[in-house]
Amino acid sequence: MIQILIVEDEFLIANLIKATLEGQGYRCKCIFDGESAATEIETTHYDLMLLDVMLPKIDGFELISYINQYEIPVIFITAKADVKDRVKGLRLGAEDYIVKPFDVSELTARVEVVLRRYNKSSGVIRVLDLEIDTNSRNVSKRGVPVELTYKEFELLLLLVKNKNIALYREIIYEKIWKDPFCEDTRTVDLHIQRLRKKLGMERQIQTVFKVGYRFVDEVD
Amino acid sequence: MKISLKIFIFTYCIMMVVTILGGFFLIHYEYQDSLEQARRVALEDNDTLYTYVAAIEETIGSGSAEYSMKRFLEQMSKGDENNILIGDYEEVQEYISLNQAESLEHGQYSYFIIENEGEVLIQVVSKYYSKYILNHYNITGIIERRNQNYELYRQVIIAASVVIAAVLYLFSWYITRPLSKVTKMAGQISAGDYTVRIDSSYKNMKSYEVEQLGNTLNHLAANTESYIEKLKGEAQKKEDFMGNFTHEMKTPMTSIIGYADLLRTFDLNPEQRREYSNYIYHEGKRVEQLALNLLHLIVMEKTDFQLEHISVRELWKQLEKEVSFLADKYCVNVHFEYEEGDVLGEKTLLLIAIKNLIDNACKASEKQTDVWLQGKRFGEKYQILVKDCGRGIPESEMNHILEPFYMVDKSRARSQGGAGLGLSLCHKIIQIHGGEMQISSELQKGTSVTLLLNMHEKGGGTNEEIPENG
Repeated sequence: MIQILIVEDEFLIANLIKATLEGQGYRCKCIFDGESAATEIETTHYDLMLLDVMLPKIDGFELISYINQYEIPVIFITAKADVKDRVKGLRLGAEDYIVKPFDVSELTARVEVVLRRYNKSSGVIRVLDLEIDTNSRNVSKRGVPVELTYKEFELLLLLVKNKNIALYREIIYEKIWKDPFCEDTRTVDLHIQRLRKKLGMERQIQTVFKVGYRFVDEVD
Repeated sequence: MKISLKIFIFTYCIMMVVTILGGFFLIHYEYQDSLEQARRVALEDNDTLYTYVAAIEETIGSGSAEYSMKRFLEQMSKGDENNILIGDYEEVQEYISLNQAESLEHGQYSYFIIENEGEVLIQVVSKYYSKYILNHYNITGIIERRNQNYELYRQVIIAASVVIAAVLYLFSWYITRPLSKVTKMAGQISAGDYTVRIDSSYKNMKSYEVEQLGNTLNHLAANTESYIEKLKGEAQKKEDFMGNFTHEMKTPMTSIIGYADLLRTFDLNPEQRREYSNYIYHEGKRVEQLALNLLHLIVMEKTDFQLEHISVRELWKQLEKEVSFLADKYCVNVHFEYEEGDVLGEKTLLLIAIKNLIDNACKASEKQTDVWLQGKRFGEKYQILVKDCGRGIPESEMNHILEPFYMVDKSRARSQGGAGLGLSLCHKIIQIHGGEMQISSELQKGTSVTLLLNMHEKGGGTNEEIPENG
């Protein structure tokens, strides 16, 4: 399991990142100041570090030069949006730079990219008898390739990444079609039906009454 | 055209014209004078000859006069017979034309300047009946001297023109040199370097006007420099303020947006829902507080307030009402003590300031400790003291605590909903009141903030315009 260290002095933001990433299946730990973060990485192995710039005791820019010797990829999370701050952060060896306020989906996307770059995640998700390759966008069931359209693939990915959690229909629409949800559209339902048929997963992709859909990996 | 070149050319031309004209005039005058003298001598000689001829003719008679005349002529001409000639027209006709001879009557004379074999002569002719009396005066020497003088003077002028040119050039350069210094400096200023100054001591600048110009430019540069420094400082302050503001704004916004996104995306369990909505609520409150404080700060920059007299008793009553919840929230005992009196102020603003101070005091205090709000007369002022026995402010932080968004302990301040605007807000309010604010603090012993406000004199003036705050 991939271990992520979150160094952020704002409890709420640290908790938010933790909740989001744990939902994606990562294991996270929150640390609230730079000094403790330095001690933490000495004792425990981490695959990725999310680092705030403005931290008590030791700030993020100082901490990163210390972290570099452990070869842990670092993503800065900061309210400093200045180009010169971004450049400074990246020069110091950060993999990416996320500016507050950020969208949680943006955060997860960037985390995935960095992990893939470090080969910490192969980009292949295996769930039940499905194999989803996020790089080549190929899906196969029991080794047999399944043809999916662009939207169908995105929809499957969203469901699988948030498996066992019910997702609201409106938000599914917003996240995949990038448009505000319109009351009487049946687009999501139609795509779900086609996805169920193509994958033969009528029972795994469940309809949640008045909410939306849920992907479950254990069917009773 | 450079001013030094102008001075040079102008002065040079005038000097040369005056010198040349003056010199030639002098030479010419001297020549004329010599000529006049020569003419006079020639005429006098002729006159003498005429008298002699007349005397001889009358006493001796014309027939026997020849011999005497010859002797006389020999005497007069001192051996040079050509100089003097006395005789009838036939005898003198090779010297004078018929015209000249005929125009003369008995007793008259005339003179001419003639040239003869390279010599210039003044020739005077007078007539005694049929006899012509001629004499010459050689003026070749005079003319030659004049020409020599001209030649000499021409050489003098050529030499002088070179010397004058050199001297004038140096002089004009010397006079305008400080000007070019000043110009150079003005150039540097216009190029944006406001740190340059001219050494404009009298000795260095040579002339009063240039010294004045230098001083004026120095003033200009100094003023502009300080003005630009001020602007830079203000811009820096503004930038800091914006930086802090965005940070303070973005942090709660990130939480609000993030948790709201979790809530709307996932069908979460009730426990998580409550937790997340709670976060959103509190962060929303924080943004609200920040916006309110900012609004106060902005309003105070823009508005002119009317100060009126406020009874301290009423003020304290209202504060007790509004602040009592703080005492419960932080479990501290807030004591309200005051001396009767009226202060001059804007009630809403004063309430905001004092509430902020009490809020700070409560937040800094441990549970079950005391916070005091004391009011007492202090000479002609009214002193308001907010005191706690809390954790205090480290001495190194004292310089910064009035800066907007400055927080001694960021995480604690944030967890208590602060954004670091309270004290700068108070400071601004007290400035508007023309009062003073003093903060003294000792670590782990407590902090006390003292406000000094103007009292309202009984029977004194009513409302007073607020002094402009800087």
